[in-house]
Parts: sequence; structure tokens; C-alpha cells
Amino acid sequence: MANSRVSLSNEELSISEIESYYRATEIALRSFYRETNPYFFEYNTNILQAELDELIDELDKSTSFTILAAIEAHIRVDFLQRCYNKDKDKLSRKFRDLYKRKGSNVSFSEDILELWKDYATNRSVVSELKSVFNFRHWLAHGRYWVAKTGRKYDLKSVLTLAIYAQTAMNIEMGA
Amino acid sequence: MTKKDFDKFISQKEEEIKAYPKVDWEAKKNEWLSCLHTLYGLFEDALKEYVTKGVIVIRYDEIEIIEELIGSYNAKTMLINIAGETIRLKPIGTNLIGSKGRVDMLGNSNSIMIVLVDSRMKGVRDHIKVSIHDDGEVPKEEPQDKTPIQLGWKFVTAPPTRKYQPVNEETIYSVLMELSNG
Repeated sequence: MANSRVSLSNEELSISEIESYYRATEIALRSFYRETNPYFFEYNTNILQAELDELIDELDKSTSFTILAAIEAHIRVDFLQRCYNKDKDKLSRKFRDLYKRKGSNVSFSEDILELWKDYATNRSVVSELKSVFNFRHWLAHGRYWVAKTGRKYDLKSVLTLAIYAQTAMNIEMGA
Repeated sequence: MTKKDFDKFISQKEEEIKAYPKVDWEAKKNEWLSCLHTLYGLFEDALKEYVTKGVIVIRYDEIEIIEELIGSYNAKTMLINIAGETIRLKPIGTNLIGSKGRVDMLGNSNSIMIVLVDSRMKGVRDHIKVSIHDDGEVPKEEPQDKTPIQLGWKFVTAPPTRKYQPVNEETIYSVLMELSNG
């Protein structure tokens, strides 16, 4: 039986849109958390700084999550378009075989990224993407376990990886 | 699961181990901390005149950094006080994507990244090359450049360009002004 087509929403965010949201929110937080702000009348400098650091850290994590979700969306849209458009290149053919076998059960990391390893201009970027999705998984499921991600991931490293992935896979993500 | 599958699994694991030689994380950590010391030296030299005049105060705190493959260690964070306003240089770590080390410079109104990279690199996008290939062809990996890498500290400019600027007197003054209230 043929797989039913996914109706693409075109609502996925570009990486630069998400980054702009982060920058604006960071600047707003830093501007608000000033010793001269009467709202913090009873705070001392250390408490004020610690509270600001916590908020920026939380903003960092939630924005990292949004960026990783967007990276997945861009790569999945590329995958579906290669399947629907019947492109003749080897990767698209492999994607179509995969789609025929698994349909909507195609795994992002184990199937799509695994195939990308042989076609990206830099294999290590795809390996890094697979690894960073452990971090995304940790964020998505409430961070209740100690994350074993090897590297230290945060917004800035996730943004850097988005730029590398866009280039190595030739998929426009707005990074 | 057959024995054949298991044999394949074991040989894949062996390949993975061969592909990633053992890393001396202690040496990597020491190199990163030494480079961090060099970075602080660049700031101290650039601000010496103002510190002597008493208009800028530099002090250091220690923070704990936890990196999964290295463990926990302490690193210095630099605090630059200009007329009551503090700008912090916060070391992030060394096992990162795209750089051998990173320090976030945090001001009252904004923040900027300083990264430890191959000094020949001109920007974030220099790390990955685009190669155009005919459809159906598997792209070739970029040939490894055998020239020894000279590491250097660079400011990363704002998106979308994300260019690297060397850390020197001129760029330090410019960034300090950008990050402060003024």
C-alpha cells in the first residue's frame, strides 16, 4: 500500500529567526536586570547576577531545543521532497527505498542521518548531528537523567553545528 | 539476531575505535587553560594604562567547569570593572564544536563569543567547505591539511556574517564599548 503524503505546513522556522528571538530576549533580560532598576530594590549584586545567569541559561536551553527541532524539520522536509519529487540522484533513490519500507516510521537519526553519512561533504558533521540529538532528547524529555553527550552543548555550539550542517548537506536552513 | 549480525556489529565497533585514536584529555585541558591565560594577558596589556590610572579594575574569580570527557576542573574568570559596570570573561570549555576553546564575554547589555581556532580561519563558515558534485556521486572528504595549526583567539562578529576578528588592543576597546551601557 502506498504511503500517504505528509501535508507540509511551511511553518518551520529558519535558524536566523530563532537566533534573532534569542538575541532580542537576551538583550531585554540584561537591560532589565540592572542594579539601577527600582524593581530590584532589595537585591544585592551577587543575587541579581545569579538570577540573571539562571534566566539566560534557561533561555539558552529552550532556544537550543527550538533550533534542534528546526534542524530536524529542515532535514525531514528535504527527505520528503526527495521522496515525492522522484529525484534521480543516489541519495534520493535510497531515501525512496527507505520510505517504501518504513513509511512514516522512518527514524530521523537511525535512518535519515545514517544514510546522509555517505553523501554529506563532511561525514563528521552528520556524526555530530547524531550526537547532538541525544542532547535534544534530554531536553525534550525533561532533563531528569544525567545527559551523556560527550561534548558540551549549548546554544552557541548548536548554532555553529546548524551552519556546518547547512553547508555539508546543502540544505537551506537560514543559518 | 544471527552470529553473522553479531560479527558485523563487533567489526563495526572495532572500526570505530580505530577511527578515533585515544585522546589525552588532560593534555588538552592544560593546553586550553594555558591559552586562556594568554587571552587574559592580551586584555591586561591592552588595559594596563587605564588600570594604572585607576579607571579600570581587573580582578579574577574561579569557576568550576564540568566537561564529560575531562571531568571537573577550575578555571579563572576575568572581571573588568569600568566605572561601576562589570564585564565578565567566562570560560566555557574546550571540547566544543568548531573550536579548541570558548570564552563568553558578558556585558550589561549584550554578549559576544571569543573562540580559540586555527589562526588562518576567517570566519565560522570557513570550517566547512562546499563541494559541488554531479548527482549520484558520493562527495569526497576534504583532504586533510598537514600544516601545523597555530591557534589564536578571535572575536566572533554578529550574525549573519560571523567573521573572526583577532583579539588585539583595537578590537578589545571596540568590544568593551559595545558590551557596556555606552
